[in-house]
Amino acid sequence: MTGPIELSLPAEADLLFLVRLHVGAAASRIMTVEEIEDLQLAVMELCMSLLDPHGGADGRLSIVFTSDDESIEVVCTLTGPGRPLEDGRNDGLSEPWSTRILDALVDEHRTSIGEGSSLAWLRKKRAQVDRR
Amino acid sequence: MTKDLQRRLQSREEFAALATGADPDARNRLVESHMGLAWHLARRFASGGEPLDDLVQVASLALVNAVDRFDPERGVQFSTFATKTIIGELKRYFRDKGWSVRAPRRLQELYLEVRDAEADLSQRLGRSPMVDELAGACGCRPTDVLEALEAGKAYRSISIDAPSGDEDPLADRLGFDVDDQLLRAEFRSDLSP
Repeated sequence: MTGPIELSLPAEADLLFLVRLHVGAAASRIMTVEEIEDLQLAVMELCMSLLDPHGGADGRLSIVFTSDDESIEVVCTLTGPGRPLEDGRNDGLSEPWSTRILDALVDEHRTSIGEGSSLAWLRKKRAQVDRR
Repeated sequence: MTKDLQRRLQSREEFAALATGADPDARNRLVESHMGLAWHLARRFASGGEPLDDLVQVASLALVNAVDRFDPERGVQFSTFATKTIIGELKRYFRDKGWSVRAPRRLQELYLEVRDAEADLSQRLGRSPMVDELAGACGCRPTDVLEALEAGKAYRSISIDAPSGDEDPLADRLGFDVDDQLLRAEFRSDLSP
């Protein structure tokens, strides 16, 4: 069991490459290169689902990675203005392709958009690797 | 019924029609109804510095291949299969491109070594290798492997004439903040006998 790794940064899409680097470092102990690349894409998708695509960078994005020997959990929390609520939806994934992409890349995911604070979570299990 | 569920059911019907050959337009409709997925994924890879139009083209061709190769009997959603196929093609496209940003020579060489080792180990193990397995094969540390893999994504180059937020382009700002030492050196040179 590894203790959580936390990353906090201004809520700017341009800074999400920092998240990708951290995902790579956090996942490298238990996942294959291909799984790491999938997880990097998924976490980027998750973060983008929280950020307001037309908004400024007033908020902060906090990302916490927790891993055990079998899986990695990533929790993204946005404090401040985020993606606006649309049509009463609060799952954040008003863009249906985001859901499909996350379905394809990780085992579980959930997003909840709120006023002033939004949260997205995912879990990816590693494949059973036969180490020789 | 949600729009998403409606779309999934529609896809299932389209694939059934495609399999029986009953509806010759089913293939076109399947591609058209998933073009949004191709666009969405192409945009996610656009930060790599390649023109978005080129990436959309790669993603669209991958989508057509996915429609042709999809087997509904396997019990996987088409969108899952298409996502994996499109991502695979986009990654291959980037791997086949050279660097436009000059990574340090050490990293370039290590990236090429890691890439070869990845292909070799994938073949031998029948799966994607772990980072420490790649490190062992290349005789370096796992952190070096991660660094090399990131360097392999360093394709992005931006023109110095490109707009930069609210500021003037870099080309207009270069040399704007005059180096005091340089200014003094120029004065000394001008005043020298």
